[in-house]
Amino acid sequence: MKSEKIVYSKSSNCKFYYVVVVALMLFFAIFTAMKFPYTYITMEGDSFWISTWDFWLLKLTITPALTNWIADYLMQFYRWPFVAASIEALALGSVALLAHAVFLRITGSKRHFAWLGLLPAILLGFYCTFNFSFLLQSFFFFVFLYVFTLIPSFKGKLLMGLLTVPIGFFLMHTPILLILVILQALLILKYHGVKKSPYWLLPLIMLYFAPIIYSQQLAFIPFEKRYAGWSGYFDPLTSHYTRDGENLKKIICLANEGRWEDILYREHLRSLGQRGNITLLHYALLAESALGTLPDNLLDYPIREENQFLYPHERNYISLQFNRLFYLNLGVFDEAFHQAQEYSLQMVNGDCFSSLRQMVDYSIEEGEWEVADKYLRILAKSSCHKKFVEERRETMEAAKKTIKKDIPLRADNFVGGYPLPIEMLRLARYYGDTPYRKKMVDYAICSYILRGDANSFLIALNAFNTYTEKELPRAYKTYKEKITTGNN
Amino acid sequence: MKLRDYNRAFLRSSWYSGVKSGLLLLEKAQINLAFCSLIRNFAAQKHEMEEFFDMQKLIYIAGLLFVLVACSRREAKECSEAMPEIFPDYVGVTVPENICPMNFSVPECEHVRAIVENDRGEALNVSGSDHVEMPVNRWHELLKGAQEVKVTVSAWNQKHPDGVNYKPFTINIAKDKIDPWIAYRLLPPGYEGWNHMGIYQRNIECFDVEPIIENSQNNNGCVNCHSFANYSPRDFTFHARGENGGTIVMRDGKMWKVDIKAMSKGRHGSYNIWHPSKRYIAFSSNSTHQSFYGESKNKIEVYDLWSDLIVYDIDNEEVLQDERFTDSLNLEIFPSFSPDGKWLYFSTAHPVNMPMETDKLHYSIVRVPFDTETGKLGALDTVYSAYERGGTALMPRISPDGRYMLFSLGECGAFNLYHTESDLKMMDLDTGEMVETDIINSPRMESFHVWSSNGRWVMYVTKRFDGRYTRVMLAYWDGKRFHKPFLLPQKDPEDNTQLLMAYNVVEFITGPVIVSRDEMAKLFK
Repeated sequence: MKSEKIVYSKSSNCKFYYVVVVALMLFFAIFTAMKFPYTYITMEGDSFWISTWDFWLLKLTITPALTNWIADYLMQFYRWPFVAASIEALALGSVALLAHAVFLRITGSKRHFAWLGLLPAILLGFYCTFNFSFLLQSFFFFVFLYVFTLIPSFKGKLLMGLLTVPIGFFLMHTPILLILVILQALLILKYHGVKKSPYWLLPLIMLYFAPIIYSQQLAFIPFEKRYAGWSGYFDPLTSHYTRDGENLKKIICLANEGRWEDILYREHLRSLGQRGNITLLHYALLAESALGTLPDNLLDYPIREENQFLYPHERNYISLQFNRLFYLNLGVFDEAFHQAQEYSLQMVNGDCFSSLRQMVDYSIEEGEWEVADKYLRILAKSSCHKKFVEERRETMEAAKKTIKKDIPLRADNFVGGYPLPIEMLRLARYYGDTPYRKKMVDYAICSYILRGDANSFLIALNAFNTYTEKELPRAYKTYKEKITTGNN
Repeated sequence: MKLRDYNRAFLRSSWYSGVKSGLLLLEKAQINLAFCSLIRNFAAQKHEMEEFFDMQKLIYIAGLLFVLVACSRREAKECSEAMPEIFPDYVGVTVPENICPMNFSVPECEHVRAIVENDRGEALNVSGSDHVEMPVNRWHELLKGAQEVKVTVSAWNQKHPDGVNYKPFTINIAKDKIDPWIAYRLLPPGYEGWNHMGIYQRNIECFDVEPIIENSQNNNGCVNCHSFANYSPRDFTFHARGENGGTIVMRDGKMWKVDIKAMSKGRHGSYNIWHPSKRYIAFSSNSTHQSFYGESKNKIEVYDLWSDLIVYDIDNEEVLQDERFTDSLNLEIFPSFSPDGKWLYFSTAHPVNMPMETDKLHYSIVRVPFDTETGKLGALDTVYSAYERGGTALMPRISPDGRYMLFSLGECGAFNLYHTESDLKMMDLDTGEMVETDIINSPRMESFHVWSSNGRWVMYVTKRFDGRYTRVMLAYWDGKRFHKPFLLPQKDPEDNTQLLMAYNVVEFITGPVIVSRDEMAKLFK
């Protein structure tokens, strides 16, 4: 029987291939780190990993559990873009090397075929750059395939084929596992002949039952995802990391840091917003508000209605991120907390580092020490938050001595319950004579300008004595002149 | 001999018994061994051991660890007259003898040891880094027949590097047992969305938790408002919202989906309660909304724009409606049957302009006679008048002996879960007098309360720990007064603080709900 005597041709002189792979890895790492740093930073913010049993149990509910768990662990380090790019380059490089080794073992002396090993890595690099879980699945796919080709005997191969399904189920999605098992079957056909091939029905049968058993014993897998479930993996458009672009990520990151001047001028957000890109328009107007220049520059923007100041009643990645910043800018920390919480629920784990970090800060602002402490304890169980936790604990201890907010039990200051100008004026009542109140009043006045509601505009102008006996900002002055001359 | 049989035979062997007896002797001698509890736990839980093949090797390893650790035993050198500050606070609480181990932590501690001793002199010696986890079987042996256990805690921390022995405290053991299983919903803490959520069941004699349904089974829709008939796990209902959702009813173990909305011409079922006969389920049908406060101690206001009361007759597959309780003149919510099934209690209020007039929304608790033969409702009787006594009274729950009504009292509004000021109150239905409940309340919210089947235990949720995340409390009612409540024990006490989910709709059940996950999911295909 020839199956027991197979001798695979040795790969020799592959140095050039290795050099190419290393060069491509370096290129990929440097290129993506330079080109997409904020996307990596955002990926870290959206990820979540803590060293608890509960978290592992949660990961079991999202197949492939182990790969997702490893991906989440590694994505903690994505806050440093070069580390992130290096991790991804390493994964891609490993895929290229493993694929090359597999091709070498399959094609024997025809080494030129082995160059095909670059193809999966290149495709992954192009289409799945920001889908690290899929990169890891691909890596495990080739590890299994390579190890399979190393086993000379049919019995050994059969044993590995049988192990591939239960182990692989924790590492790969079922469709990828199916391809792996089919490829294994083809290799059996090639090296051990037709007679041995029927044995490969066993792994296929196991693959059929694996999702059913997993669903009953570990975590339910919806019927439609048991044997399919890879929609979205190859479509970069479905990932908001690719779809929304690096520039928006950068603006969001800078906004989180409060660097409004930078994003408005250095990043040309003002001119971009003025060109009418809806998302950027939102951020440009928010930056103007944060800088206190909204009342001057409102009419420079193509804004048509008050709802373009934020995304009222929308719950998606863009709107929740923005609405949180909107209310943070106004010092409405409860609502910023709410939006951060909602944002985390959009993530696959139902929690994410960025939201937890934000909620720690908002809890401290609101004097909710126990909540802040809870989140800090959780963050302390991750790998990269030691400094953050220490700093916030110090902040909290200091805040305990100073913050004494007189917060009412209930108040008619509902967020999203009223039209924006009314909401702003109602909220303003609870914020004393602070910059927050002025921003709220400005939003109310600007909303009335956009509505063309002259009466309300004049009333709001006098609200809380914000603009009494002061020189009016440019937009207000222009509008007031308009209504005085009857051109409203 | 099969593999599994081999393990069982091994566990029955004298070798295993010898190890177990040795450990018992060591504990009785109160030798402080850091890994003693680990090994004991291992030896005690046979069913877990049976899963291992090479038991002999494992015992050798455990023995080796045992010897290594025995050399490094620690004794606290200082003594304190203070009680230990443990979390959860189990000092002086009253627990049922079938409750799971009351594991606790000592915050900011490097090493902690606890000796738990019953009134027969039997002791359990456990230790850990910052918390102790007690072996389940040994704990139950200790509590069986005991009136109280004394817990002596020693802790090593930065302040006491050589260790300190705190003043012992007692845990009182009630004669009355508690229902062994509970069901509850876990979800993100009350905002708009969710990612993972589900209805779960937990064996509170140990730490086993299983899902009854998770939202991955119903197209990621919301699952809510579960209730059980007569505490039976074979008779329960819940709602599944979203795609292909509906009201799921299981009676005598048979499960099906009901479209209440179609049967009642537009009124879907929300909060529900089973009639003891298992023939009827009373629902309130609510148009529920929520608004978020911009700056307030209460974070959310949940309210109904309209709400009605309907009764689903399972036998006749029809929804019974009474015009008095389906018109727009009043809001009706949180129905609850008396244990004899003769009365239907619920909360009702005049509608106001919500959410602006939350302060003016006050629910009273009323009851109507319930005709078990026809499902018809009788004349209205006010039990708690919010207009006379003040506040908003919600979620009436009648004790199994029919004498007491436990309810949640807030200042105003329709949903006390988000009202910091909400407390549990109890009325003696024979006298109309209020019963003292201060001991089970806190400055923060308490709500979603239920009675155990023997009427001796009350379970409810509270936000006392951080103000945002609800946790489950249990309290003993001895027929005259409530005893100090205790937080539902977890294997690792930190789970109480670190779980990023909130509990609600807690229910006692006499056993686990047994349902195939696929069978459940098929209802939503």
